[in-house]
Amino acid sequence: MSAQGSALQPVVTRSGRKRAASFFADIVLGASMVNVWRTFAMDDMRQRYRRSVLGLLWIVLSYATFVLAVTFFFGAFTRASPSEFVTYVAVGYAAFMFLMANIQDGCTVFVQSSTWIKSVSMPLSIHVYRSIFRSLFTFVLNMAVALAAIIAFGWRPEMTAFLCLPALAIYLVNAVAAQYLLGLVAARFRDITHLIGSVTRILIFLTPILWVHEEQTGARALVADLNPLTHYIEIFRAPLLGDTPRLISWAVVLGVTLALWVAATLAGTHMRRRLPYWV
Amino acid sequence: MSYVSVRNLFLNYPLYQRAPSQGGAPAVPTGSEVADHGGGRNETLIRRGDGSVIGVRALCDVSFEAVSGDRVAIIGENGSGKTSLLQVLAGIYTPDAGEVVIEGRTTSVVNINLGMNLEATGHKNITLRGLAVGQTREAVEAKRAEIAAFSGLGDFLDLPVETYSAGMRMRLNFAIATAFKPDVLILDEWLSAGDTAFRRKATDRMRTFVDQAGILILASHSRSLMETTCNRAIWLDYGTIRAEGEVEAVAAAYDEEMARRQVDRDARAAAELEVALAHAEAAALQAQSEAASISANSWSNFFIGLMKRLRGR
Repeated sequence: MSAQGSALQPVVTRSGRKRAASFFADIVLGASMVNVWRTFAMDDMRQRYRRSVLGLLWIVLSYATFVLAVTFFFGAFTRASPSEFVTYVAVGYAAFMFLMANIQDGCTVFVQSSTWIKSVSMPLSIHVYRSIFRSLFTFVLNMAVALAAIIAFGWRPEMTAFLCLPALAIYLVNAVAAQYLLGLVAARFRDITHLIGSVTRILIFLTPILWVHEEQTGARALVADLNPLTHYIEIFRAPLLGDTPRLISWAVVLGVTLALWVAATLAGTHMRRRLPYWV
Repeated sequence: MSYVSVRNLFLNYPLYQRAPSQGGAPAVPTGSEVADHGGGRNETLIRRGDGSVIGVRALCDVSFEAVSGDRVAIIGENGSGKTSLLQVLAGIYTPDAGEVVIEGRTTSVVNINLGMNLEATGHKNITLRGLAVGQTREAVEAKRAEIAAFSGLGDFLDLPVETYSAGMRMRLNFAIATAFKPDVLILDEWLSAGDTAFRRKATDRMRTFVDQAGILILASHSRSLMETTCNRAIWLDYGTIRAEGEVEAVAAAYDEEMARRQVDRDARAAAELEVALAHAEAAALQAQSEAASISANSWSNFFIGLMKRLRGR
C-alpha cells in the first residue's frame, strides 16, 4: 500500500482493491522496519514507568510476588515437591502472562496507535510488532527471574528443555495473527475489548497454572483439556520440567495457529482499509 | 521528477452510529451543519433505507494531475472534501474506487495534533516521526539540529509535547515534515496556529522546496497564502471538482459563489426565523386564549359571577 521512504523515487499506487497479497505485504514490510517498532516499543516502556522510582523493576517485582504467593498458598494443595511446584508455577505463569498480554493488547493495538494511523502512512503491522515487542520484553525479564529462582531451588536443565524454543517461536507466530485480528475487530466492535477483558480474568483459573493438570480428574481435567491455553502453556512448560509435551498439545496449538492466521488474513484483507475511520 | 495522479477517486466516509455531537473527521459535516446547508449538501449524505445517515460521500469522481514544481491549492467550504482528499493522497484513507499514483516520497501534515506521542519529549518525537516516515536513525540524527533550529523551540524540545501550545506543536510538526526533503508535501491549514515570523519562515521554506521540483498540495482558506504560494487551484464542492485553474480566477469564482450561497443561507435563515416567530406568536396567542378560557371556567370566576348576580338582586 505504501512504500514511503524506501530508495529513490518510490512509486506508490493506492486503490480500493481488496487483496490478501497486500495484507501479507503489510506484514512483511512492517517486519523489516525493526528500527521503528523497537524504538516505539522502548519509548512505550519508558513512558509507562516514567517518574516511578523502581521503573522497569516493577515488572519483575509484581511477577515474583505473584509466583511466591501462589507457591506458598497453593503448594499446600499439590503432591508435587516444592522445587517442582515452583518451577511449574514460575514458568507457567510467565508463559500465561505473555499469551494474555498479546490477547489483551491485541484489542487495543490499533486504537492506541490512532494518532499515528491517522497521520503517517506506514504498515499497520508496525503497531502489532511494537506491541509484541513490549510483551516479549516483559516475558524475557520474567523468564530471567524464573530461571534464577528455579536454579536456586535446585532445577537443572535437561536436553528436552530446548524444546521450549520452538514453542516460543510458535508463540510469536500466533501473537502476530492474534493481535492483527483482534486489533481490527475490536477497533470496529468496541464491545470485544470488554468481552475479552472479562473472559481473560476467568482464564487464570481454567488454565493449569495454579494447579497441576496431571493431578486433576473429571470435570476439571476436561475443562483444562478443552481450553486451548492449556496446550499453549504445556508445549512451553513441559520441556522445562523435563517432560516431552503431549502430541495432542502440539496438534491443538498448530490447529489454532492455522485458524488464527486464516481469520487474520480474512480480517486483514477486508477490514484493514477501513481502520482509519474506526480508531 | 515527482508526479501525482488522481483518477476517478471516490471516497465514502462511514459514520458507524456516531452521534453528531461527537463530531467526525474535520471534513465531515455534522448533523446540524447539514441541516444548515440544505440543498446540495444533503445529497452528500448516504442514508440507509429507514433514512438514518450511515455515511458521507466525501469525494465523488475526483481526477487531477500534478507534476514537478506544481503548487496546488485546494479551495472549498468546510466539509467539501478537502481534508479527505489530502488524507487519501497521504495514504491514510484508501479510496473506495479509483486510483492514486504518486511518484516520490510523500510527507503530510494534516493535523498538527497527530503524529506525535504527547507524553514524549520534542526530541523523542523527532526520532519517532523521522523513523515512522522511513528515515534511518543516522538520517534523523543528521537533521536533528536543523529541525531544532527551524522549530525555534529551544529547551522546550526536552519537555513532553503535551506541554506545548498549539502553535509550538505546529512549528515542530512542520519542521520535522519538511526536514527530510519530501518530493510531495501535503499540508492542511498549517499556518492557522503560527505567528507572523514563523509564517514567513515557513512560506520561505515552502518556496525553496517547490523550487527543488517538488509538488506542494495545500488546503487553505487563506486567499493571500494561496496566491503567494500556489500556481494552481482546485475548487472542491460537495466532494467533486467544481473548477480548476489559475488561483485568482478560481478563488474569485469561489468567493462569488460563496457570497451567493451566503445570501441564500441568510434568506433561508431569515425565512426560518420568521416561521419560528410566527409559530411562537401563534403558540403565545393560543396559550393566552387557553388561559382565558380556563380562567372563564375557573371557580373564582364562577364565584365572582355569583356575587354579581346576588348583588344585582
